[in-house]
Amino acid sequence: MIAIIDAFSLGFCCLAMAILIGKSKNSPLMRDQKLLLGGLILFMGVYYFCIFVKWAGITGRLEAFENFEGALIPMWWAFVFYALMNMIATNEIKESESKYRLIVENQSELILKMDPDLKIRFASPSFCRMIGKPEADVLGRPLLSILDQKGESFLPYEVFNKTVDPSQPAYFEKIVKTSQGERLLAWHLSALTREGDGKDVFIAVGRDITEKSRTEKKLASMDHRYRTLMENLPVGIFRASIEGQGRLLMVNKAAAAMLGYDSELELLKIPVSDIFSDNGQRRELIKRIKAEGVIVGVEAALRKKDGAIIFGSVTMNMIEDENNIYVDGIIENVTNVRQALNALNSSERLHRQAQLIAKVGHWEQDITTMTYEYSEGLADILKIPKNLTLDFDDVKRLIHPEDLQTVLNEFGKSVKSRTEYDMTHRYVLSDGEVKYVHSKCVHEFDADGNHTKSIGTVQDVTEIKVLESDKHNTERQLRQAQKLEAIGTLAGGIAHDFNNILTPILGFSQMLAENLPDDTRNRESAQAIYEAALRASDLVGHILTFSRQADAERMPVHVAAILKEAVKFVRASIPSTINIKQDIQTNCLPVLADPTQIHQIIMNLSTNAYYAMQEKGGELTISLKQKRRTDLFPDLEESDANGMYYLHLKVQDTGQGMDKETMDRIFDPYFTTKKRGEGTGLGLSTVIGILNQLGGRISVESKIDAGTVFNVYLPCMEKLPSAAAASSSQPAKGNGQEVLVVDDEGTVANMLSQMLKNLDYVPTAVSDSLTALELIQAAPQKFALVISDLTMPNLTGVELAKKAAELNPDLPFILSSGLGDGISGKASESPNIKDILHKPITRSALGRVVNAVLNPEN
Amino acid sequence: MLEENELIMLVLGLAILIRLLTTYERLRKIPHNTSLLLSFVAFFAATVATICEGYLLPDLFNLMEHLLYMTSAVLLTFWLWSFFKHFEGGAGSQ
Repeated sequence: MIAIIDAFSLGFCCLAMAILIGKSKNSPLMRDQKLLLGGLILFMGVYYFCIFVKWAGITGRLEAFENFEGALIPMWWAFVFYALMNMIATNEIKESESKYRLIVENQSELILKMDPDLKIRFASPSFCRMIGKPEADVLGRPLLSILDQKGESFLPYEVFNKTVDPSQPAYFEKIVKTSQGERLLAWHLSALTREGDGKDVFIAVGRDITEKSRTEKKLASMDHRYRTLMENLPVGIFRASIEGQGRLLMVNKAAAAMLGYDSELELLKIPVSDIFSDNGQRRELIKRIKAEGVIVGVEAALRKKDGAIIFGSVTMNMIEDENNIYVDGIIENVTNVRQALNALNSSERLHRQAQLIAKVGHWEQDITTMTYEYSEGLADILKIPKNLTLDFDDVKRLIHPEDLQTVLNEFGKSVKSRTEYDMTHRYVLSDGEVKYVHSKCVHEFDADGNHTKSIGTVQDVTEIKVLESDKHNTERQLRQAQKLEAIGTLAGGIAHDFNNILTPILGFSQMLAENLPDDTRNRESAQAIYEAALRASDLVGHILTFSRQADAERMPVHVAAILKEAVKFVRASIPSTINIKQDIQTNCLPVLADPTQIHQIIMNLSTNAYYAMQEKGGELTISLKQKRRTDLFPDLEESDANGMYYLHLKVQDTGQGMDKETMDRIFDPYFTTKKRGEGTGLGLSTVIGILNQLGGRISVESKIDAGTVFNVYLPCMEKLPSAAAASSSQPAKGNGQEVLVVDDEGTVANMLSQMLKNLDYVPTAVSDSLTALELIQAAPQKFALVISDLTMPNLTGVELAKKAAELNPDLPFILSSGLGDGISGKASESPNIKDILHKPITRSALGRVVNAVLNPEN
Repeated sequence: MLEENELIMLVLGLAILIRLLTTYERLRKIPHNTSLLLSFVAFFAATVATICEGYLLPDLFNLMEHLLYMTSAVLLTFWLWSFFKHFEGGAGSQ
């Protein structure tokens, strides 16, 4: 049994030996290691053989050898274990070497191991590649013989001359020639190290820093340029902290100069809060930059060193690092820009105001797009929205259709001839208003001669046009007035002569009629002559009235009388298809007015009524009533009332009537519904003007196709004229006073003398003013009164009165004249002229006036 | 009776065993080291059994001695086969 076991043991040892011999080729075992392992197996096999033999009983002579073997086997085990561990260590070293070799061979850095005499003991593949030589040509050769091709020392000798401690690592940079040209290498040289073989070596690690150096140089250059640029920029550049008062961390020269500091250092000492004129604005900016990160172009008021305020446009960017928040920014001095902008704004405002005042606008037409830009002034003129872009059709719509073709033709001509376009035309606004404009423009052309732009102005000349029209009308009216004046002058002259002729006719016929027996044909004839002379006298009066010879002074006027005269005049002027119906209250109170103006009111209203009935005929009703104020204007305050009584003048027609829009405008000056040349549009506005002067009123009622009623209210005079003076038909008689009558018309002088004699006066008639003066000089106190013609040869009535006053200041004068009311002003030229008699003179008028002058107390 | 050669084997085996235990970490790097170490341990146990058979149960310890020798031979053979197989498979390059 034991023997069998030993046999198996021996067999396994044989098998192990076979495996070792057969398989050890591909193992990492070294030869001696294999031998040791084989020895162990052999010793174990021999030992098992010996004990097999012993237990098999074949022989016992091997026992001593067995014991020897058994003692050696543990030692072989020890050898085997040692060999195996050695193998493991060797493998580990190989693996490590392989790993580090891999690192070194793939390293871009140049790695050299050198002796102190610079012989290369190891060179990395990168070094070999760099110098373009195989490793074999490098190893063992001095480094200087490889690289020091320019006779320069590759490594600083002082490193090796022990001037520098070789135990300390060194760093230096060197340009060397390589297979890639000259390269800059940075070398880290280790301290002198002793290797395992006892030799001292340097480890040099080099890095190609050519690109890095170039980049650094480039960066340095850029940095220099940046700094130069920053220093020379005309805008201020700064970096500042924002906490607390703020501290400037960096500024450039321009910033210092902008704020009036001598240097950047001086400015850096100033807190940011002191630079801002308004610290509230600074806080606001900090708040904004914290919220938004960037602020662009904010205008800030900054305080200079000398305290002056400038305005800077500040652009800032917030920079935030781990510890601090600060801002980088630029400041541009915009004080001048601001001033210029203010000036520009002011100028633009003035320009706009000037355009507004001058009613001028401007426009630009882009020919490419056929669009128009226009100013506010033009928008105001054309009543179009501001800041719109008009196209060509819009503009064409605005131009008056009658002017459009002319405008387009003129514009085209000016473009073709490259001359200024200049014409006056009309625009029709959106509300229908027509405006006259004076339009001018110039054109711009490109290098090829194509029309590119037109720039023009438009001036509103509507008012000028209206004024021109008014001027034309006024001139026409002036010419008419001049004609009337000429006629008036002529009529006045005729009236003077006529009155002189009528005066004796009137006087003598009246006296003749009075002296003849009643109911005789002669008396009737004389009476007829008197009445005819009276009518002739009225006629002269009318001529003087219509020729405006009468004074425009306000005086008590009996409107009824003027109205009757006017109706007669209207009747004669309008066709018989228009029936005139009148209802005139004759006993109305007088009105304090200019008779001419009253006449004008009546004529204007009557003319309008006639115009309304011109085509179809109709009825013109004119009425005059005296009414109490309270009946007419119950709502009128007492203080507003002019008097207790008003005259109500009503002018009513049955014509075409008016709509409300027309009624709203009829009192506007120059508004007329009449055809061109038939009316000025000033009639009713004149009426309004007169009534305003007189404290009167006017109202109008109208209905289409029914007619129109004008109601005119004129305040009556508070005090009625003396009833005695107004109604007395019996002339006041004298008391034998001596009266001197002077008239160059002898007949008139005799007639007056006769009348005075009939009135119980003692007249002296002379036909020469000088004779009259002599009579007065001869006896200044003789005459109680002088009645003198105004217009006489040698001395006029006024001159005579003046000279008489020198002789007897108390001698009263009455002037007589055939010139109508136009002479009333003469009365004030001499204090002794007390009244005026208008020719032809009736006896009653003569008696009343003479009596009034001689007895003023009555 | 303790023989001289057995004592030498025991002392040497014990010393080697102690050394192996102290350098166990390095021995672990040997491929399939368990088989090798057990082979040595079996050999050392056989030596101990040889000495023991002189004092008690001589037949049993004698049998154990021979069985342990055989175990040691088998384990050594198995380790050799595994060791070379390990490198044949390319694991040795690791």
